[in-house]
Amino acid sequence: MPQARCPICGRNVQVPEDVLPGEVLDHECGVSLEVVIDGGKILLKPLEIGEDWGE
Amino acid sequence: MNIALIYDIARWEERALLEASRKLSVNMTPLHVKSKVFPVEGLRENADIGLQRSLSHALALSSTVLFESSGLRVVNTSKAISLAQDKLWTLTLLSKAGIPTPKTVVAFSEQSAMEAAKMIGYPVVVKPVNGSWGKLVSLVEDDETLRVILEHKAFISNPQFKIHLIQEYVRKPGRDIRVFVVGDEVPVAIYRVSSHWITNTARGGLAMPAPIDEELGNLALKASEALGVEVSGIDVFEDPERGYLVNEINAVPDFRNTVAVTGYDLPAKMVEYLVREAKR
Repeated sequence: MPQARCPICGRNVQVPEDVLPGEVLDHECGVSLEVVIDGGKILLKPLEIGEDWGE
Repeated sequence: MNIALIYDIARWEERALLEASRKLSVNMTPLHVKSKVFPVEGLRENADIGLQRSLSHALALSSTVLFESSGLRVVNTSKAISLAQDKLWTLTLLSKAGIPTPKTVVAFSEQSAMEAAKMIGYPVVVKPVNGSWGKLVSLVEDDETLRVILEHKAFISNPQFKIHLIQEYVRKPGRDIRVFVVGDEVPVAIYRVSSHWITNTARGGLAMPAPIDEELGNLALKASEALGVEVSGIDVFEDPERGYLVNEINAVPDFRNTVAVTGYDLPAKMVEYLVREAKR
């Protein structure tokens, strides 16, 4: 299973094999992370809720 | 058959749609709009139909316009999305179609908002024309509270927040109803139960299965037809005297809680609808 680094706590995060760009992963340190795939590399950034998000 | 799943943030709902497609042996391709570059003439994708699932209102509308521009049929259409995103537009169309809605007055200034509240009679609900998940929706009991809310809104730079929807406070029985429409079917509904007057599940409302009687089903279909939405979540209030009132229509509805409490396979229903539409 691929791994990426949590930008908040610095620990490794297990990433599903079929992870999607934009997917939300909840890390054990309590932060929700958004997956960014840049040139095939999996990066994580803290999920920032948009002002216009929602139903 | 290939369905484009157009999205910005992948949550449980998007995963469920991909899984439903896999089970139905239908190819569904995730299209992450934030990873793409779009020429204005649109982005030609190898897809027969698209399902718009972007969480951001702006991205949902703009990306639908671009995909439609390239000839891709998108559910919901850009027109339906723009109508549903605008609460004022929604209410005017519902009203025109003879669909009962909460009594609502629109005001373009603080002074006229104060007059509007008097016209409706306190308590009133003050909401923006374009909002979501119950954000910036206020229950106002008197002139003084309204004055403070309007004063705070005056400091929000977005001009949309200077358009005030003043709505009667409907004395709901501690719940409202979320009805799902897929094409010309009304497959499932939930109650959103809360001791708080805002019942959105995103705000802590508890989801419970709700029956769909003939009147509710017909009302939901008529409401979706008024806006031209094909896949939608329709929010309905139960007024003690007037019965069902349609409050809002959601063109990119959340459905995780609905599937969890009803067990109804809404993602599969949506995929089946898309397949039928793509073959038309």
